[in-house]
Amino acid sequence: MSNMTKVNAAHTKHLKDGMIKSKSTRAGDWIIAIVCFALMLVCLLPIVHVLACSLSSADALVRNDVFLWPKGWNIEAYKTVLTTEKYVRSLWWTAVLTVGCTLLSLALTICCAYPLTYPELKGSKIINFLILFTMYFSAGTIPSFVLLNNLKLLNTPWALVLPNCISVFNVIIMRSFFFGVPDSLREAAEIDGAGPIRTLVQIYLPLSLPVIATLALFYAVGRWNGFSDALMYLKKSSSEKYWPIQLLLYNVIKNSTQTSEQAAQEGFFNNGVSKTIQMATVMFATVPILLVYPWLQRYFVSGVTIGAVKG
Amino acid sequence: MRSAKAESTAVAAKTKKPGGFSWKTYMRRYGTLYLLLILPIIFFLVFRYTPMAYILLAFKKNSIDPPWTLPWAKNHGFQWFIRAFSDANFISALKNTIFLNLLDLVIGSPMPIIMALLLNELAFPKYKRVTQTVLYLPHFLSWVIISTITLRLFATNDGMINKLLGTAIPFLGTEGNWRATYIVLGIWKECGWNTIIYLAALTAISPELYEAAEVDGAGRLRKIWHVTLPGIRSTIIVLLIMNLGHILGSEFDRPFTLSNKLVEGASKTISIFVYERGIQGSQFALSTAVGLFQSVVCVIFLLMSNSLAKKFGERGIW
Repeated sequence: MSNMTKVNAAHTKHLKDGMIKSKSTRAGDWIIAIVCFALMLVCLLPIVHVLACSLSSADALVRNDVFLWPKGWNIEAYKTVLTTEKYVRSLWWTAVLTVGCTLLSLALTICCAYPLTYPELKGSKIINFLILFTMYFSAGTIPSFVLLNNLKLLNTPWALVLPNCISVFNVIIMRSFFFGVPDSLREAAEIDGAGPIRTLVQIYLPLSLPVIATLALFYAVGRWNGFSDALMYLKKSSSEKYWPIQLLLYNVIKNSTQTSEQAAQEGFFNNGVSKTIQMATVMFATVPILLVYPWLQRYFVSGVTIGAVKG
Repeated sequence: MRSAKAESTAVAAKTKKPGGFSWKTYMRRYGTLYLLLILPIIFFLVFRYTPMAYILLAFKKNSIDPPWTLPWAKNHGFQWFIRAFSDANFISALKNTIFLNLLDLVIGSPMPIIMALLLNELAFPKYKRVTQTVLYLPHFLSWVIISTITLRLFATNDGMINKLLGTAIPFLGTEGNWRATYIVLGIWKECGWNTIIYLAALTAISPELYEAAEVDGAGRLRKIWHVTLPGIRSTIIVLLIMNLGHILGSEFDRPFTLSNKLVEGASKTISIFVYERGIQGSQFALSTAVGLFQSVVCVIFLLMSNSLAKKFGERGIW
């Protein structure tokens, strides 16, 4: 083959992928596809196993028979979770908390990011620096804890809302996205007599829906999965009603692995029953996120990329 | 570019005297922006900067009261730092933190690169998208969930893995095995997610480079080695810096939820030490001192690794 045909071949390859590949390349493609399939299984099978366990009978779990398909099909565990006051309250509270926190965080993030896109705004440089600085140096766990104690916020639901309601990383993503909006749009709005707020609401926000969806996902996942703040800030038994699902699940698991008597005290008759209930709870704590994130994939991929480049 | 343009129109619009600056017109124009900033600034001052004032706790007598009302600690205020470094538990927490982070750095951080290369070579676009979605899944699970699943899968006697293999390996029961499980689970959770950045960097590589390599007769592996990897070199280095900067940083959820009584010698990191001593044990001064030490070392490491990257001709992270 002459060089010329090779060059042509290379070009055609990009136009019609796979048409003129050599046999070894095609074999390589299949090997890679199979490896990727194996990786997918590694990610999925644990969840499938949990699902199978949650739908199995308690006896099957005690015998340890369940692998990927439920043995002794039943939905008792789900019924129990949905009729146990403790679980229902915690799930409901976590959902309310997640929605509330996400809305608050989004509003504050937009309020924080938008003014910083005006370079002529006096003081924006110093504010910018003060915000970025907190990303690299934090006071640590205990100073925040003592502060919350002095503010009388410990053991109140506000301890889960306020201390982490703005993430600097998300502010950076938001700001970078705002910077990407063409200047001419802002100038046109200003010529039409729109103030900064109107420009934000009528021009910037409608254009930013993808990034807003991404940040909503990040904030919502963060709050839904949040565990350590609840563990540290809601220590008193009187604040048990504010336990999010993760903390409740952690405590149930910890107690049931320590002694099965304690599991019995939790209101379950034997170890097997409590295990199917644990698995059902895991499903409840997992499924909401798993239902949402695939639809936002295109957006959060670009969000992560912006954050990584500018951060 | 924007600043010059916007400023000139702004100045022309608002000032009557040419070249003059009037606070009144400036505030009428930009005042609302400051109003927007008020709540975020209050947040950062109260929940990010006030705790920095509370760092003073580390140098005062142990108490939960505001530190400026307290008397200084012994040894010119350094009593708690001395106490921490003569505490065998703290030294062990320090060692565990560094060891686990080093393992993450050496074993964990090349994995997303390999996975990104694999995804990049995947020839079927739709299949690739599905694979990516599935690989991002573990990132969205919390460590509480993962540790719950881990207990089921990796238990010594009745764990699924041991049952399938027909063995009784204590995956979480000895310190060495626990460390391995910890690292593997970390990779499981974040490897797919971390490919996002590399995949983004990969799209920036010009297809002409691949064509040129093909003309020169390069196969798949040679193209990866000579085109793909050099193309994402700076991304790799920047992320390596970030990881190096966090060598003394410690996650809380991951070691805390995975830990058990048998492996405390390997699993107690600084974050858990701070939690147990400070929040459970009310030793606020000691644990603030430990936290301060950790934060300061983190910043120093970040600065050092950043300047190191700049020496290698990369742009660093700021």
